[in-house]
Amino acid sequence: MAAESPMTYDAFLSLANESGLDVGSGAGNAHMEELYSYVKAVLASLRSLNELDVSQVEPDMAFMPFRE
Amino acid sequence: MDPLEICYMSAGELSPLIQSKALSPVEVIQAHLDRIQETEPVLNSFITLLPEEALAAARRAEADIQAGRSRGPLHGIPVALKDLYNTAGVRTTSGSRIFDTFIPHEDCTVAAKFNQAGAILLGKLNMHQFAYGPTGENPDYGHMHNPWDPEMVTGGSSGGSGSATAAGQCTITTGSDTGGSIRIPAALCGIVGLKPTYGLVSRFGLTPLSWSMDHPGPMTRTVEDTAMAMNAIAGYDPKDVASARVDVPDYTASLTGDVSGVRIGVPKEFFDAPLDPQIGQGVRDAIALLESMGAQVREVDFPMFNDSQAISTAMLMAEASAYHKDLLARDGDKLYPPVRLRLEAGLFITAADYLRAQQGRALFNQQARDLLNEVDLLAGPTEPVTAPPILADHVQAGQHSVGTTSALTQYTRPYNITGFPAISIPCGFSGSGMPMALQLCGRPFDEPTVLRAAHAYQQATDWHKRRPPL
Repeated sequence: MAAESPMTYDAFLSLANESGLDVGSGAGNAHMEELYSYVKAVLASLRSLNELDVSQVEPDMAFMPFRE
Repeated sequence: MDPLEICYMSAGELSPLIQSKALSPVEVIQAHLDRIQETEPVLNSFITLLPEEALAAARRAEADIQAGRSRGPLHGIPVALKDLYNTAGVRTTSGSRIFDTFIPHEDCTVAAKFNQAGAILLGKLNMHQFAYGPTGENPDYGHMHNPWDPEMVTGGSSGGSGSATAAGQCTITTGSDTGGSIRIPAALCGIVGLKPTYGLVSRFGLTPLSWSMDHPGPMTRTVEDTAMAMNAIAGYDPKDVASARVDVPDYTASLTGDVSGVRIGVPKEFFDAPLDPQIGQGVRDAIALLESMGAQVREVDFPMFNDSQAISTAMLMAEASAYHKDLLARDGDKLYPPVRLRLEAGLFITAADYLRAQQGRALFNQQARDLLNEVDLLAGPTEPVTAPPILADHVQAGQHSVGTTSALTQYTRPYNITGFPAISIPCGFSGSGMPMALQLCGRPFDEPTVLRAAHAYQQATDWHKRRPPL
């Protein structure tokens, strides 16, 4: 989701629903609007990951720090 | 002995008195309980206090020591645990009313090790809900307050650990550090906080936030006490899948007071980031002092420092949301709204983003390793600002207005990515009387060098001896 094009509100609601969040009406909508703004800000902050040259790198998945 | 003096003595000072029977553990514990009663209405450091249990344990410790059955240097020393460390028979809330009545049936490994060492548990410490925030806000159990100015945050997430230690409520406390949650409150409250190497201290029995970046560790007023605590709690634990099979040295043996020949690198990027000039100067002065004591100091390049926020954000948010997904579905409306927002937002981090962050982590770790092949330690500020007001959403760092969370984690998150050991130690006070801090990072499992330099600095300064005005 760290793509250049911003996510539409409808797409956000669809993804939220798929993720198990309550996207109902009333007070739920106000919360979802706040979450939508927050999610957009978070995803924007991750865009710099796309600028890293990771073509030769495998994910560091072992959860173990380097040990000498 | 004056009870307040007892409360501000270090474990290194208390221990010989207790061992020689010049001071009773009962007197030590009672002094701390009185100090808590006096200061807790202002600080709100504790979620659960255990006065009767602590006094009973103190009487047992006194009897054991009188009978020649000492368990070692922590016997009779007061400790308190962040309230996400499971304690058998004592509720463990993780800072949320959702778990207000949760009573674990088993101690976490750290609690068990402290107990084995004869340390006495005073209680469970307040914290940012589920450790998911760097300020020490908690609407369920009340916000934590900074002993140096109660209008200001303690820092978080281990805020109660910071305030309790700084105010003489407890000698040794613990925190857990996923994005800085030991080092941030240590820096803002003017104490010592060590994030040990990932895997050195067991995570077993702690509520996770991010499996790959959670680090339990001690918070104390002196580096010597940190070394003493590490002697008790470090080491392999088969109950923790990430626990490292490494030899654990006597960390106090590294406290020689000598930094001759220690090579210290100072990343120039740290000083290009938003930074209060007072803190920048205080940190430069601290590094200059280490140089005058024989350390070899030079500027180094750490360009990937600027990628650390994006890398750690993707990993932390995805892992935290994965861990708390069921809680979110069940009790989302009972969470502190900013914590709920973060947990829900993490659900929108894709697998591709997460893996790209892990690729970035590999690059980041390689650059950090390369740097630490050239030098023994990396030095810089722990925090770009002093403690901000409670609930402030932005802080002023030099000429920059920065979101509070981003600012407070700016210098701490890099070492959660790498898992390398990092310590925060007091290095001065701002014009308004708030603590400032120096951060030192070393190679994996080279806590001895980190502690050696930090201790030498404390031997040459008296910042850690100052007391907050309460």
